[in-house]
Amino acid sequence: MGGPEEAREFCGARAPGVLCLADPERHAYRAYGLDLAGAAEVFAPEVLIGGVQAALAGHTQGAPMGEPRQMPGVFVVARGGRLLLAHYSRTVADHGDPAAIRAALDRRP
Amino acid sequence: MTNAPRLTAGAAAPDLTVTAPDGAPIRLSSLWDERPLVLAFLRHFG
Repeated sequence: MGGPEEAREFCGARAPGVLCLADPERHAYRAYGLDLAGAAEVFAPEVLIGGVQAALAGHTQGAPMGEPRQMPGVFVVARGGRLLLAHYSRTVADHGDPAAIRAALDRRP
Repeated sequence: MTNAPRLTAGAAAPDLTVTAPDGAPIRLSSLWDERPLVLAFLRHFG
């Protein structure tokens, strides 16, 4: 993962108002059970199709910074530290269902 | 370093120190003490 400078630049440009944190040694990443992708997760049809669709819509991806095989994941943590949701992405293009994340946030632990 | 096993809903969220944008260390639990937290691990910043 990138360092604090990359986090600052990324959030400043793409997610202003969001607190972006850096985990350059991947300690938190590994502690949450995340791992690097294999070929199946990187070259899955949904990844390639999504990339083509994004390009046709005018969205481009810059040069990857850091480890491109890093699998994404989303976790919703309740006050006090219990997980309400743990989403491990199936492919590198899977970023979790926003409706499921919202539903987890609306749930009372 | 081996990875921890996958987590499930109901489990305790691992509490570690990561780095804030200003370079200061920040404990994850400080972010979920007052309100729920969405923690998204991204693939890369490209």
